[in-house]
Amino acid sequence: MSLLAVENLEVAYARVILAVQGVSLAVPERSIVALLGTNGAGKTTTVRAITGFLPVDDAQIRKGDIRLAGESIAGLPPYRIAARGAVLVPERDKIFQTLTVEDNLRLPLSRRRQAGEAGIDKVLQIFPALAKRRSQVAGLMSGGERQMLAIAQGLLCNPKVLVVDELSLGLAPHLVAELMAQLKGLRDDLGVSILLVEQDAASALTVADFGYVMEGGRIVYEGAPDKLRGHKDIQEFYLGSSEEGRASYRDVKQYRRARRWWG
Amino acid sequence: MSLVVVILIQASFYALLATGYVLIYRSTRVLNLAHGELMVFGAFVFYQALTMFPGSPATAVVAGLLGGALLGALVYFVVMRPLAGYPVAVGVLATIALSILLRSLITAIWSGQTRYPAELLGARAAPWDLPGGIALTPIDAAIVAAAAAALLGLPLMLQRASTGVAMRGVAENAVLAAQRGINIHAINAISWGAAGLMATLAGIFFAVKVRLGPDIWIVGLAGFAPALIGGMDSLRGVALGALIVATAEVLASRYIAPQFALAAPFLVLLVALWIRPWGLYGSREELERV
Amino acid sequence: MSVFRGNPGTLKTTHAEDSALLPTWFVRFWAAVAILVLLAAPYVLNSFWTGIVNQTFIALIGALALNLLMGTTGQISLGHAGFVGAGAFTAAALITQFDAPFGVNLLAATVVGAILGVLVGLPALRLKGLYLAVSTLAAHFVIVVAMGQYQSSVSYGAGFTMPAPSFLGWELSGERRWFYFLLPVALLTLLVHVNWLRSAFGRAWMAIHHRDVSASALGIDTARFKLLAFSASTAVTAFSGALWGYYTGFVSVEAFDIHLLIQYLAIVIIGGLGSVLGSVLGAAFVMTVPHLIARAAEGVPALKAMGASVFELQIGLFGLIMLLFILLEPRGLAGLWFRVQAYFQLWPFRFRAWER
Repeated sequence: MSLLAVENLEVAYARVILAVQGVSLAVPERSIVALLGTNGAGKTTTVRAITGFLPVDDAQIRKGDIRLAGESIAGLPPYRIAARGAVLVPERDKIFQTLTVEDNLRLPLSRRRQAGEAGIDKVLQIFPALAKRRSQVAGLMSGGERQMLAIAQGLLCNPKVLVVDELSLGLAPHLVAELMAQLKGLRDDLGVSILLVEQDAASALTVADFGYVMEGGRIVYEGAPDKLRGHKDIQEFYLGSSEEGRASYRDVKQYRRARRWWG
Repeated sequence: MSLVVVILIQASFYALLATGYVLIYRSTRVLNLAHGELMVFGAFVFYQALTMFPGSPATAVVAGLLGGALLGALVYFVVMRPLAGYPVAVGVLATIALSILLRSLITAIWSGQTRYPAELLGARAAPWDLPGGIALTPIDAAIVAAAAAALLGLPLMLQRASTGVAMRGVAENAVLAAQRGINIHAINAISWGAAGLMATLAGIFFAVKVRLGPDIWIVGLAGFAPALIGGMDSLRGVALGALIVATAEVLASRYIAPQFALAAPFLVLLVALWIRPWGLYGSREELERV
Repeated sequence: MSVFRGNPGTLKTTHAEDSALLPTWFVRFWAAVAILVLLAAPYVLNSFWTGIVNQTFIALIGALALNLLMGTTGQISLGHAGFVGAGAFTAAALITQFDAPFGVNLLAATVVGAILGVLVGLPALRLKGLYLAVSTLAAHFVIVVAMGQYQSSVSYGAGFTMPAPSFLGWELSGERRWFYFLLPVALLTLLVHVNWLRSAFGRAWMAIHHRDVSASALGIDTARFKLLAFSASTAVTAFSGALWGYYTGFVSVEAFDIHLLIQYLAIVIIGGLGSVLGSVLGAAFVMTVPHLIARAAEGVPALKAMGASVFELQIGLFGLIMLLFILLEPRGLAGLWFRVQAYFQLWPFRFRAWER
């Protein structure tokens, strides 16, 4: 049984526009699963459905279910979902910019006092760069440090599954590689599963154990990283390489109609 | 020197109201145009309890505070919570609609008649004669003490207590706080309840000192002027904002005409909006956040 | 609020389709029926109800203007009552000073409204959201005080009586004549608004509403369009105020208070912010329902016994209805209509898919 299971999810906006259809994915224990796709593919909608933020955009889950450790979390308010163990590291607004690093780390623990200092120390061991900046106001740190703080803050919520949304956005490539490698450490040392939602498919596939590709609101392909890397179309559209040279937009349009995904 | 005392008392009244506005703005990002009704409701509950237990004003005060706090929390749960994530304008319009509704409910329950709780309090409301020719009533002293407690205690709580840190987190980014396991609804309900409680304190003061009736909601509404002048999201600015508005009002009322008393806060507000819309200590980015 | 304009269930594939006034035969048919019904109305309804419809027309004009500013451009404005009054007072002043004719007064009111819109809009450019709301409220008080001063000094506080106007040699007295004057005026205003909304102006205003930083990045001069929105809105509002003054025959500053603002807010919120249909439905609702409730209440002895507080309760009822719409169907009555429309358009399907 997977830790996080999305079953046949269907999400509609304003009650009439279907954005996500028949999406099923599974995140097993102790693994990193990548969710790939371009803008508008439906990744963000799926992430919002998992973490409970659909009502903010006037969207609802119309069909299907989302299960965490066997229990349904579909439609629950975000803080309950976080309490059950599905924690989001968002794409934007990842940390509290007006609070210090110290306060940022203390905040998730306000309900569980016993975790306290021990939890903070552990997390600062994983990200030593943060230990140096404990009393700095978080908004004044660099992008990479903020991302580290965001992940650290997420870890302090005691997650079973960490949903990381667009980790690579706005970060220099070597930093991205570093952080991705650290995700592996989280999986191995802390036993946390990670759902990595990414546009940077190449980086994501270097650390993932399994991957899904979304397009037009559906999952169009899935498999182990090698299988994904070997697929000609994924190479062409997500990894930026193809034998026939770069595809033009016109070809893409043609291609969509042909729908060769399953070939 | 009695002028200073009068200003101080008026500023305390405004500080309590303004703190409520700021707490509400920090938690739900809305200017609560129904705050005047929260004040009136709490004051009426106080009055009701006073008529039922005339020997014990303390009970009446507690009852009023409970009533105001509960109404505040209720308003959050029923009206503001479903509107989370909507633009500021929607929240403001909702509070306008709510104020109409609450005003008519209050009138339906207690009728439009003016009441004078001071009569029920009798001798207990009589002034003390202090040196310097100052006549201070117990209610005056109480309001100054309450304002001081609020202005000193709240920032302390926000910095040190874990609930305070949570409140600051929710004030900055409620969505992220929700993701980090904070029960934002509980936090916001606490903010709204505290705001209702402080509005009730101000309301009881006004009811005893002047009069009580559904129409005094406009006095409670004037309380948003000091909040805006100090900075809508700043508790630090409340003290200064309250002092400025109180000074303007007392001076205008004494040296120009008593009718100016109600217009003064709005006039100061106009000037402030012209010079510095985000207030003395408010975050400038508040203006961009729409 | 929902990001969707109009009915999200409807699929339009060309620009012409999207901007069409009467896109389908269904709409054309019912529009024709509506016009015929309206033309015959004064002969079917009694004088009282014709008067209600007249008031609805005037309220519609004011509501369209408010909806343009608040719903389409997203600039929250609580100064509406002041602008209505400004229009009425302009007409009253011109009659008192110069005995100016009807047409001139209407035009003058519109111009004064436009100027006021620029005056209020200029400082508003720096402000958003709640600060904007507060400053427009302050503008309301300033205008009202100015009007009050004028009234005390010129008419000694008694207010101004407005003569029955004369339009193209035809005297407007009696509900029926007002009806046949107000019907085309209201329709024309409606058409003007619909045209503004489907033009470049409307698109710019909607872009500003959605996110003005992005709109600015796209090359839209947000300052210019915001000022345009303000002055267009206040111009039409003042126009409706002048009409109101002539229609009721009496202009006094007390009529333009917070209660009037609340009435207009109720119209646009209950009707639906941002949609012309919303203004129409809202105006009809707010103007007719209180009378219907009053008639219904007469049959209930318990309510009659409450006497004066029934008025308060009615206001409270509007507050409740406004709240319910904000909470449950933010797009108002128009939103309810769109839902019904979407159901029938998509039937037997439930959804419109994102792609395609």
